[in-house]
Amino acid sequence: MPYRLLRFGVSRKHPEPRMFTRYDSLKAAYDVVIIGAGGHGLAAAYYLARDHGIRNVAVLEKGYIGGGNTGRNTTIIRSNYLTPEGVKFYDESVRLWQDLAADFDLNLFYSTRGHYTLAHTDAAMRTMRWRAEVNKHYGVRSEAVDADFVKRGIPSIDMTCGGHAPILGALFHAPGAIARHDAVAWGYGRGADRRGVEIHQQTEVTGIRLKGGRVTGVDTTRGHIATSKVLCAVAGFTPRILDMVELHTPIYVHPLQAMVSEPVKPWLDPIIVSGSLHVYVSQSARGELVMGASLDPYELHATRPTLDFVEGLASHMLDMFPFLSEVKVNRQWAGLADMTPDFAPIMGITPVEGFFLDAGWGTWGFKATPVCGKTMSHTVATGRNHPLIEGFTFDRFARYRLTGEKGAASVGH
Amino acid sequence: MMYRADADAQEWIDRAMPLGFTFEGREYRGYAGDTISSALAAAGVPYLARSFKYHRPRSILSFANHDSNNLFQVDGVPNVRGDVTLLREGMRVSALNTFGGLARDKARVLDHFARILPVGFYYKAFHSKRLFPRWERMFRRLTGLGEVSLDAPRQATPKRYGFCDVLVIGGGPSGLSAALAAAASGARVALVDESLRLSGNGAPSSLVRAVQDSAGINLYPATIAAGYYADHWVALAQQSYLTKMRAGAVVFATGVIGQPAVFRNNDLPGVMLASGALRLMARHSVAPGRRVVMLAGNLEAYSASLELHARGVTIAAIVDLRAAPESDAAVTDCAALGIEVLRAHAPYEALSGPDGTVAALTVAPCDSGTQVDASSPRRIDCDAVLMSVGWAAATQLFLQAGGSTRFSEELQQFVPRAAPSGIFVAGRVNGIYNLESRLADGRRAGVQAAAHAGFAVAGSAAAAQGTAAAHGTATAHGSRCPSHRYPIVDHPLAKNFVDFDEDLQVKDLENAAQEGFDSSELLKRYSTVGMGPSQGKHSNMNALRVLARYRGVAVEELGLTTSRPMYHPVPLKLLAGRSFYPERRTPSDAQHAALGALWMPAGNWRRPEYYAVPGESRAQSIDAEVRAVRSSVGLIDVGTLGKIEIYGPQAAELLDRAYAGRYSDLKVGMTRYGLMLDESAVIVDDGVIARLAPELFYFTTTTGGSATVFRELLRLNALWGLDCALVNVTGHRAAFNFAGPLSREILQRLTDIDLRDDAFPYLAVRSGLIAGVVARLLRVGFVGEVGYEIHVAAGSGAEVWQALHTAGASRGLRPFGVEAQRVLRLEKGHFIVGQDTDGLTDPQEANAMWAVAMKKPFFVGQRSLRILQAREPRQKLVGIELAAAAPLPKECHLVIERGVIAGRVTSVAHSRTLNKSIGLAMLSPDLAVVGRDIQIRVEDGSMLAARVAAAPFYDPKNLRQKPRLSA
Amino acid sequence: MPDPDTCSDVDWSAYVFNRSGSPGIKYEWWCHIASGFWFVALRDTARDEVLATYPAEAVRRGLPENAS
Repeated sequence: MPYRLLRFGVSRKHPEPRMFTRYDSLKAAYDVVIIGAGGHGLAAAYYLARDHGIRNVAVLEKGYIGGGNTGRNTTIIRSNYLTPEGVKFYDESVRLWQDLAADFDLNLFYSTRGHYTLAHTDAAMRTMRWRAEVNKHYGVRSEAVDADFVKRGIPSIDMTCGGHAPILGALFHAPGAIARHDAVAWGYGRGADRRGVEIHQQTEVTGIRLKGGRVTGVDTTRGHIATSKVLCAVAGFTPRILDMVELHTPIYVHPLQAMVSEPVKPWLDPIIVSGSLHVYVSQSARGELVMGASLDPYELHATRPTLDFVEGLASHMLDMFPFLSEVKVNRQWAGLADMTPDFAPIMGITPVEGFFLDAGWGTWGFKATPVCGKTMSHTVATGRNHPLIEGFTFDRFARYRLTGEKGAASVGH
Repeated sequence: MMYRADADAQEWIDRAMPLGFTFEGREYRGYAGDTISSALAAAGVPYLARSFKYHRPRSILSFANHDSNNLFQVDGVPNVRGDVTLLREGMRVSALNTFGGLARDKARVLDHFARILPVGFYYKAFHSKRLFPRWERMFRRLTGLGEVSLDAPRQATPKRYGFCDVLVIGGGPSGLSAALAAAASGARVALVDESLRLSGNGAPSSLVRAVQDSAGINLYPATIAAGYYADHWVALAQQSYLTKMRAGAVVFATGVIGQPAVFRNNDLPGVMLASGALRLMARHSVAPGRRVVMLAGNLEAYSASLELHARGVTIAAIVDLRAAPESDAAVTDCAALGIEVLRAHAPYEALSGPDGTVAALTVAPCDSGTQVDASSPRRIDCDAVLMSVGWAAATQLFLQAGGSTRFSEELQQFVPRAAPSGIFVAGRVNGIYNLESRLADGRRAGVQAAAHAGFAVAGSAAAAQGTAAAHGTATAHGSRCPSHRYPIVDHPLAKNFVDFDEDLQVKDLENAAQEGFDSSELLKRYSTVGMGPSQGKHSNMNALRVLARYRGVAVEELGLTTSRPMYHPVPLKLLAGRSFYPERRTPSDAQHAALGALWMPAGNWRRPEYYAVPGESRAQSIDAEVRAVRSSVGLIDVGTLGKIEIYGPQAAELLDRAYAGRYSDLKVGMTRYGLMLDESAVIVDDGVIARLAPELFYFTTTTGGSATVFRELLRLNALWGLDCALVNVTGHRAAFNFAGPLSREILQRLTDIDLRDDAFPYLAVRSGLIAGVVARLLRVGFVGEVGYEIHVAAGSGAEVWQALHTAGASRGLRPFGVEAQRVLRLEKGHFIVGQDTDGLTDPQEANAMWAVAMKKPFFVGQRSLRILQAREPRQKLVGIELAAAAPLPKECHLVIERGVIAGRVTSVAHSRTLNKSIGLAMLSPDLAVVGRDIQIRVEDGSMLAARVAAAPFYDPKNLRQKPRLSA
Repeated sequence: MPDPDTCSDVDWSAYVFNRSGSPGIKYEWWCHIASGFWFVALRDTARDEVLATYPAEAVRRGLPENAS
């Protein structure tokens, strides 16, 4: 038992301060206003304060800290992307993840488990090889592996998947990890809070004021704030904020659902993804199987769960792991995924001066949390896009220069 | 100590049918009709389980599956609900998550470390980068509940679709009366109740019988309404199947859930909910103890005391948290029996005896906020403590349905505020406790729900009242308060549990709030309150009370956390059902199998990858198939291609707009390649388009694209309103490619179509008979030899395949599969959409501008392609060659130029025909020059030299299709 | 659709890629897959409620302007 827990045994009062200061009112002006106190917004606030010395920052959150997609995703962290832009970006993120717990002095349960993307067709096998080769080129540990390797790594899996989709091989990504999602938001939030950033929960942005194409302020349910810089990091709510500054993007919003089983004794070490079967699954530190699948098929701005989703996912889970027939599903939920046509984010400066965007995260924003914080804080502080996000710029659609990440995204997690 | 009481006429057990079972390796007996928990309790087993975190001994709490105290491993199945799972002969039952068995569980030592394991302790330590993996292994050993058996079989369960006008959830008094009233209105009613038997839960037995006898009511006993989904679509989980019920209206008569009092050691075995004790006694004749203390926060404590007293249980005392109980017959009856009632007293601490079960309760005077004066607590010896201090409304499903609630201070429970259309609420969940009122409320809800579903009873007073009431919620409740305001008692030594699933004490919640997690959602996420298997059924209400007190606000200000399915956890097997995967097979599938086909998936079809011949390796077989096509003749089933017919005066116009090529000038009897783009000019599909008549075209799509292409063409046709119609004949038609230098000669013997070049030139299409079967022949060159794509009705497919196969057999024919076809087309330099192109490839990049008619007025993708033409392409698809002796790279290996990724190999194969290795590669434009040397990096990091080459590699001038070379 | 022959490249790329991603009452193409019948639905994308449906011809005649 670590000694640091002993202080809880000797102290009469719980020896822990608040993680997040409660502010009664908003200031009249901030240097930067960040919309959205999810992982991305809080990470940007943290690095703005820590690395750029910008501390007069307000993070506005209409709900509660980490209550959006930060707390609704299936916590998978990986960098086995297809495009060089993607691989370099996520590799930097994975590097940052490794030291985050020490940075925060908070256990994030960052757990390297290995990540298999199963291939059931020769076309999928080709894509796995493509990803593996691009990954290796940038020093990311990924390999296209054969069926025997899969069988050795996941001895319990039905290699025929119920006879429907025999497993031919996989992309094996050794650094694939999971983490405790909420704690990431809390860690960034606490770190930002301690450096003077104000986090205002239950504070909804109702408008953004512009003058001559520049940001001048933000209207909220708790009053007006003057500011010249706004960072929008609101995932599925992005289009609503973009309407306030009259910007148009390809972003469309579909729900992404997930479900979790009751706890059972750990039997599954790695993270398993199957594009053909539309499944991704890992087993959490609580022993729960955390399971997800593909996007809902049409636009919706509500997190309502569907029966179709759990039926399909359960069926595909049992194709891979038939012995789970009696294991029970405890809960299902949904988040709002802000999708783009090329499955890459839209980041950085925009045609509105002082309005910065961190959006288009679709189904995979969690793993990018640290690197988004890093690059967006740089971009906000300097007014210039960070080099790592140059493949993800706002103007790439007008230039017909899409980033072809779709190939890696049959089930993108 | 619990024990089996004397027999009772109403009990559910059959004492004539004893059942033997084992628990933790010891043999026990119960009766048919027992649940696992009741049988163990009756057998006097002191405790049944260990808690999740501290491994404290636990036994029955709710006896309703509202806590996870009594989950077991049963015959290899994890997390079996002992409270609600019927005992079977020979069951092998064991406790979950123990280390060395229930009694000797080594992890019980954790209980002594509780002080240094505060809320969220795992966030505060164990995260040294070096040591975390070790700690994590320890956590993963300790975590989880039951164990899955990795060899358990897949269980395929059926699913049913149900339909009803009114679905009533809950078989208590209000639910029964709602069902009866709705049925009386003429509605078809489904009544769902989770109890093993429909007992009415206090309803008059005449009502239960009336419901059972009603022809208009379908009963679903032992059924869990697991989740409410949009449009009154409710998942009903039964023992062995799932019913998906579509209802016209839904009545939630889901009742209330007994809530524990929170005091030190309130989790000792023997401390249980009074409602659970009553269920145990009434159904299974198991007494909670011989001498029990009743904790009272409501009137139900008194009636429960009377019921138990009548079954021979001594009530040592009633400890009432309130200054005065209600004036009610039950209260006076208790007094008349001489039961001691301690008013304004609270439980301070439960004490355990030598067997770990409760042996005494200390009580102390308290004020209305349950602040105790602990200066001189009084000890009451007992062997059970029963808690009847309040209820939580079972609003979960109502909230899932989009209902909203408010917290009623008067009732101390959440009650409905507003209900969406077609949703009605009745009974105690509506805040109505008096039996007569519950019955009346049920009638009202039933009539309203039936009226909503179109079964209004004219002039019905209830229906009229219903239109006035706000969507089926009612406010007529009695004067008494069924739930105590704060049934929570502080203790300096804690162990006063709010959440039994997660071992959370009052101070854990307060400390979480102190750390800033002071909204209901954040509190849940940080402390994990309500996140266990029972999803907060017994804990959320008290957790909110603790948080409200900590923050000094009303419970209403905090609100409930979001409710999501499942209401009770549901096994994957029920949700999965049978896992139906349709697989498409072509008409000659059996013949392929007989010829030794090895299969590969293609879309939702299966296709022969190649035909295995004994004595040949895979590579040898594929080589031989290629050689047959090049030297004599080959036969491949291409029936999986999408096949579409379009006819009408504007058929050509539709194709001109939807495809990049021009078809309006295509001559009848001819075919032309078709390339389909999306509006951003990316290649999405290709095929061959044949004009059969001025207003009739027949064309193919890729195998994987057939459904989406057809659907998009239908949409475009609807959008443009052209005078033409489309039919998808993919499944109606079989198709084969019969190709090779001998193909014409052999085929001519089977057909009345004149195959001579002048009559049937390259790229023509003809109709006629093949082996007596009406056929369309397309003369195609995909594999680079004279070849005919033969399209016939699916019903004749097997017959025509056989005729072709037989006709060619003596001439060296081999059937060939997808692999050989890939080599053959690669020799011809043809790309495959989706393999040689990717999600961003435009026709310029794919060298396919020859298939694009830019001069047409409009086609999908044209405008974007114009934009792209004005700029340098990012990449170019080119042919590549490798020396014959060189190892073969694999598809998607990268082309590296000065350490930078400069492209990738999209197709590659060794060509025996050409005696070299050939391929296609997508390269950056500066490399895409014929003769340019390139480097391909393979898996192990080594480099292979290759050279950009002109494609086609084989017969580049297409001489094999020219008349003078024909046989 | 802007006129492809007269609109600017920027307007065309906006037509191809951009969309109104905010919740609202929108016209959408829907297909009944079993029959291949395409129709237009007026749907509230905040609540997933279909408010009206129209045959495809209505698109050419011009849909009522009540969508956001």
